[in-house]
Amino acid sequence: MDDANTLSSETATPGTNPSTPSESEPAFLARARRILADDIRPEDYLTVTPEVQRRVALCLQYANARVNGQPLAPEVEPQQLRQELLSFHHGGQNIAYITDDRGIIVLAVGLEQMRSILDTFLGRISRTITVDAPFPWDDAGEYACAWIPCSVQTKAL
Amino acid sequence: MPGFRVPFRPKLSDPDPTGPIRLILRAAITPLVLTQSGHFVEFNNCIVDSGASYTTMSATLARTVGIEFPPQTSRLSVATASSTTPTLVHDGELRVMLPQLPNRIFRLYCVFSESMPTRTPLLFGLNNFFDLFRVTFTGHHSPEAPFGHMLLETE
Repeated sequence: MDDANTLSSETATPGTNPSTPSESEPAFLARARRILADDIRPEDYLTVTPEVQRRVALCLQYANARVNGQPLAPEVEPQQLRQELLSFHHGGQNIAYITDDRGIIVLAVGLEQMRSILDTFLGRISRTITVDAPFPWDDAGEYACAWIPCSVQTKAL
Repeated sequence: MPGFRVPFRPKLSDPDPTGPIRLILRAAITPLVLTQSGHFVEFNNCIVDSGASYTTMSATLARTVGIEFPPQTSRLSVATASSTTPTLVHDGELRVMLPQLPNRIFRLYCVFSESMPTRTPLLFGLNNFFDLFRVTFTGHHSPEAPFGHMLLETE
């Protein structure tokens, strides 16, 4: 929903690159190069919006009810937050991202960008690159199995 | 027998404002998959699907990520909830590593489908994921897995 947040145009910072950039590099690739050289800015992370907070709180409320008052394990909330964040910002899209203890940074949206990111950086960085197509934010669910094309393909994203 | 538990992943959605909030549960793992460059890419939300006959991946997604498969194709009938459709597939294999079992690479027979949408997750189906893993699904809730979990065990 806020691709501009992760894919805004910028100038690559010379001298901080894990590998040499080509001339006229696309903005998303220059941004990824900066991030993967550990020049990470707060705005690079997916934003925790009120909608995401509400959905996480609702899910935890339900989870708490299931365990009859026992405290939930500490990893449950951050795992749920990660899933909701991806779903809210990029539900139904093919993406590539990295994570750290501060959050999620999406490097590529769509197959073309994914291919470029993997071709350029895979094997040249120590971080793990994750690919995903997060569950659409308010899709009706998987009725029978994931093989059924999800309805997001007919929605405007 | 080495094994590990993976909590079901819950997703609440509100697709119809006049209807109930839906709780969607996914029995999903996050393996590292070897690409033809010799490096691993992590795939999030891969479904362990006992309703799928084959481990299946979108051929387009595989090309995008750099997973090699043979160019030869054959036809395979794919059943969905509403119909059975012949689809063009490539028979190949995946090499995967699970973070819970580091340093072990599992070879899985995989069908690369030309008609599977790229947004559909990698499915680990009966043939042959279940030759390598014994999988137990349970809805029993615990503080670590409030919506239930699956237990994966291997030799």
